[in-house]
This record gives sequence, structure tokens and C-alpha cells, in this order.
Amino acid sequence: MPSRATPLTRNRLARAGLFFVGVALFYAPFALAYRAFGAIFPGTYAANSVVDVHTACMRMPVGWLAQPWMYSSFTTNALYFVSILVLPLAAVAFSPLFCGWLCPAGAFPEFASRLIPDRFKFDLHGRVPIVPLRYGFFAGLLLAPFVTTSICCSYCNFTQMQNIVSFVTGNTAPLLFIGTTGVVTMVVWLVVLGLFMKGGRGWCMLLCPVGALTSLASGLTSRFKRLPRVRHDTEACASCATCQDVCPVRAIDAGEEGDVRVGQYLCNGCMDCVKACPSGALRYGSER
Amino acid sequence: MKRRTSDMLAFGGAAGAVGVSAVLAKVLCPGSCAGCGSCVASIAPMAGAALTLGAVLTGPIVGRALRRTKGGGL
Repeated sequence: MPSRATPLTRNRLARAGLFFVGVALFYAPFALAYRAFGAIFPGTYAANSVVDVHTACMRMPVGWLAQPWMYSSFTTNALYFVSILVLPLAAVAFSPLFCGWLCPAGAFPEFASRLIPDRFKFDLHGRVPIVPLRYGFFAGLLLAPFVTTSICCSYCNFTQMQNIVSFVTGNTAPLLFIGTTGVVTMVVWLVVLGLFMKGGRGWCMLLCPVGALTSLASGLTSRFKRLPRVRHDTEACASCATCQDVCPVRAIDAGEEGDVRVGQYLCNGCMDCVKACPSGALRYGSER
Repeated sequence: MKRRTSDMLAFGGAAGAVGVSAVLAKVLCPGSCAGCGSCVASIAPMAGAALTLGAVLTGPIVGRALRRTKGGGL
């Protein structure tokens, strides 16, 4: 019996499956990627520390880019180069697929938000200049350590995701965060910018420095036509605006008569728009 | 308001809000506790985010008011 699932549904199911793969790779008690790294390279931080999402902290190294006095920290753990080197280079080569396909901290609020009807959600698209805000926050986060201490883990959505995974897998210690300012992050990330935000990825769109850096790398290089990105064919477009509606990061502006713009500084390469497009006007690949 | 202007305001507002809240964190912390600073520092970007989102969401109202008074916008 042939499957009745639409390509969009199959794409979302595949991404949901990879959400669990992401949890298994990066989050304790599994953290398989870091355990493998530690096993291959004994003597490294991954082999000699508590292994969880902090083993390859992705957020702090991005902040260190603007703090020369922190450069020596990079020598303590090779995994710190993941967010400042590996992911941006991968984004240049393939677009920010990590954000759209593997990052559990982005996927969890997105899929959770599908439980809430759209009429209860706020849609930033068309109301808020998302890209300037995103990179404004990014600039602010890079500069903030010059006037205060580095912004701590309570702020980080990766940490909050680790708290959830730990709790679900039987470790109740992370519940202590409820008594800290971390609960503010949890509510903003999961409720305000997640459950009640169209697309469910408000944190990714506005506040995630890792997403901002990888999207910046992808966006700046999107003019090179040979690099694979989500591309739009104006002649094939039916101007139905389905792509704009399904995009979880609100990266698509669908105007009249096939005038569709894919915001490469926001796109996370999830391919929902490509799979949802009824006329095949959107595709992932190099420019024809 | 022209799009370029509103984009610049959004960018500057977001960066500035985080910066201002970071300064506030530095000023407000009495330093008499254990001294980690994480409680205040973690609120700073959140406060900045809330301030900026609030400012941007109310921006169109301010923009309309300005257009009325200036007869054509910024």
C-alpha cells in the first residue's frame, strides 16, 4: 500500500527522527559523539570530564571570537572549534544543515509548537525585522563581555535542553534550575519564542549565536552560484506562498507573480519549503 | 519609516539593549555574595531581549505618531 504522507510530512518526520539522533550524539547521558571523540583521543577534555552537551560548548567559543584574552581557552579542548570552525565551514559548503536537521535545542520547541494551533501564535514575519534583530543581538552578545562577565550557562538554550533530556532520562538534579534565573531562559526559549511563536524557532531566529554565526557564513557565501543553497525558480513559481507559510524560521518572503525571496541569512536548510512547494519552484542545490 | 532606517534601528536597538543590560549588570551587582555574577549576568541578555522586542513591537505605533507630527515620516 503506497504511503499517503506528503513529501512535507515525510521531511518533517525525517527531521524529527534526527532530533533523537542529535540528542543521542550530544546530550548526556548518551553524548555518543563526545564519548567517541574521547575514546579516539584519550587525554583530551572529552575523555577526562563529565560528558554532556557542555563538553563541546558551542556558545562560549563564539563569544570568545571577540575576546582575544580568551584565545588560550581554545587550546584546552579541541571540541571548542566545532561551533566556530566546523559548523561555519559546513554551512558554507552545504548551508546551515546542522540547525535545520540535527540541533535538538532548535527542533524541540519547533515540534512542540505544532501542538498549539496557529491562531494562538505570534508570527514575526512581516511585523519584525528579524535579520537585523538577529545580528543585532549577535553583535551585542559579542560585545557584552567587554563590560561584564561572560554570559553564563543559565542563559543558554543548549543547557536548558540538557536539563530536559537529563530529567526525561531519570536525573532529577537539573530540576534545581527552577530556582535560578535559568527558568527565565526556559520560559522564553520554550514558551514565548517556542510554543507560541509561528514556526516555533523564535530563539533560533533571534537569540542563538551559533545559528547566527553559521547563517552568516552561509548567507555571505550564497552569492557563489555553485554552492548548494535553497534556490528559487521564478518562472516555475505558482505564487501560492505555501513556502512562506511552512518555513519554521520565517525566512521566505513570497510576493506577487513569483517574486519569492529566500532569506539566506535566516534559512536553516530544513527543506520544508522545498518539499511543500507544489510547483517545484524551490529546490536545494546550486544556481542553474 | 523607511525599511533601511527601521532595520538599522532594530540592529542598533538589539545590540544596544544587550549592551545596556550588560552595563546594568555590572553596575547593579554589589559583589558581596559568592561573587560568581552569574545571576545578574544571565538576566542581562534576557532583559535586553525583552526591552528590544517590546520596543520593536511598539515601533509601528511610535512611527505612526512621528509621521503624523512630521507629515511624512523620519
